[in-house]
Amino acid sequence: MAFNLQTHFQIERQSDNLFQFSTSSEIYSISLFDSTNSLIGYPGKIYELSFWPINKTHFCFDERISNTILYFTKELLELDPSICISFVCDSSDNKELIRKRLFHIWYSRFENGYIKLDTEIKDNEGPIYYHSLITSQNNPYLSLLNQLYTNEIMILNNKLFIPF
Amino acid sequence: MSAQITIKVNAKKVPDYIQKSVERQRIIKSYLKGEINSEQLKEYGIQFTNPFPDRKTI
Repeated sequence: MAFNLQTHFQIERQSDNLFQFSTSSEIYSISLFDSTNSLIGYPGKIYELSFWPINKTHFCFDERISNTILYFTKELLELDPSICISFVCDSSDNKELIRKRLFHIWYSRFENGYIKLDTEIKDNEGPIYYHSLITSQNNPYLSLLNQLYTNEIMILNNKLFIPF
Repeated sequence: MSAQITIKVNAKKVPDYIQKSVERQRIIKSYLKGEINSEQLKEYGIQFTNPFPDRKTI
């Protein structure tokens, strides 16, 4: 069931093109970086999305925070069905798995009409990198996207490819 | 719920686009903490993009 996206905070664009919203005690920042070139051959736009609390001092659960991030994501995807949003879970504090699970819970509350391609990439030494691409199911380049994304992973990793 | 496809990969090398994304996150966090300024951010090749040019609020 889709959740109520009306209960979100207003997002304001800053002069440096960061987007910010404020809760009663915190300020959150959303950044978008144009990473279209990261998937060679894809004709649509790919935006890398990141978000952080700027002045977080303590844990504070507020459903409107996730609603706001998802509302922003939805507004972006509705600009053009060929848009993809790329999201890599921050691993600098070893909480990447928590972020991945949280992101998945948020996404599961998204309404129908979108598709999420997830990859979990583990090399010999580093952490597991959790990466997601979200796009509309009406993306006219959906087959091409799937093909390019899968091919890139296979080529880059000497075909050590384990789908499930 | 929308659709989902998951791929697990045991890699010898993490793809460049992941490495670059992780590095960008580190730099953007430094910017948000005020440790580097907008000029330094540009020197790292990071410029935020705005796909909503006609909107000040979302």
